[in-house]
Amino acid sequence: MSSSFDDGLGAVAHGPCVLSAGPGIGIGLRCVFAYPDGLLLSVEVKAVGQAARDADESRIHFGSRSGHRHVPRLPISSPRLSVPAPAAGLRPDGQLWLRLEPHHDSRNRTSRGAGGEDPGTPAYVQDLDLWWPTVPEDARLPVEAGWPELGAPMTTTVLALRNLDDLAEKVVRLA
Amino acid sequence: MSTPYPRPWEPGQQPWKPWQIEDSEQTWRSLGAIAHGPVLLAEVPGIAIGLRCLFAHPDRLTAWLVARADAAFIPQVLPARSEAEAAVQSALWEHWPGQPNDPLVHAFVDHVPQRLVLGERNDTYNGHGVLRLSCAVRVLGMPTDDRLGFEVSWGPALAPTTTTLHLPGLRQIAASAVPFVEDRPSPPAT
Repeated sequence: MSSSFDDGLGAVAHGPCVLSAGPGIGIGLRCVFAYPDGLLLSVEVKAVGQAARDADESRIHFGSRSGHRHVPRLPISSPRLSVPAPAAGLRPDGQLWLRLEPHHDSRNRTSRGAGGEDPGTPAYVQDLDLWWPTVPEDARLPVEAGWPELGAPMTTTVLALRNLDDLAEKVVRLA
Repeated sequence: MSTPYPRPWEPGQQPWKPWQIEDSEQTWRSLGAIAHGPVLLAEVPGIAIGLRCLFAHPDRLTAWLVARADAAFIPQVLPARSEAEAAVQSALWEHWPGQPNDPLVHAFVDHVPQRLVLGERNDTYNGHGVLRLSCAVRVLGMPTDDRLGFEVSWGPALAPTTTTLHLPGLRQIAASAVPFVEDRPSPPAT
């Protein structure tokens, strides 16, 4: 399915901010791009040390050469990002939170400071693009983010969006 | 095949090994700060290359680039190349870091061409008769004149096009890059 962000450069509605952090792990918002029909959230997850080992051990992945499936040592988990649904619902705060599913999700196990015999410190990088097909009328977007299994608590951040007026004119068309 | 870079086999040149380049600790742990918003870098009918956003980190920049080509133009931007030519281009890492038929991107810091390093993302998808590429590239080095140049091209269809971004206060912007991976983060404000 093609969305408007495929064919245009959205207006910058929010810059970088930390959404959730734990020892050696961070979930950060890099940018929110606004389009007339929705918001594109670019999110980065990074971890070092034990948190990076745990992140890598919390997913199924395939060996690059063997093609064998890697069985995770820890229960399968992933970073969670949610926004409140317009309808009232299930939570004590009276809101139903919808988990955002990424349309782009790339993750890499890497290392920091490796050299020679030294394998360095394990590191983990994950990039997520999330599409929310609504532009809030009040320019506020609460985002709940976290990866509790890895020590990044679920944390709610209310993003104050800017630059939302005249989006149809502001979006730079690529086509 | 033109290139602004010295050839690795020229005297005194070291081989280009981007996989060995590691960010400083401060930069690796930062989300960056926005240094420039969206801008179209080059366009001809059916083909476009744009910058979604430019982020400043303490000692380098990240450019999030996107490219789009309509199916009818794909044969023009993806011409058949000889295997030898493709091999040389791959070995030199001169293209939008990745496939030899990707767009060619050069960045200029203080008017000096900088080699680019593939950042954390590089995705391609092809559907609805359109080829789309998205790529975050690291620009090594920080301009001292608050300007960053880009030259982009894509096969014979999109000739090299130069854009100079003006980045007033770049040093201060870079210094405000948001750190987000800490060994002992402070608990969230309640």
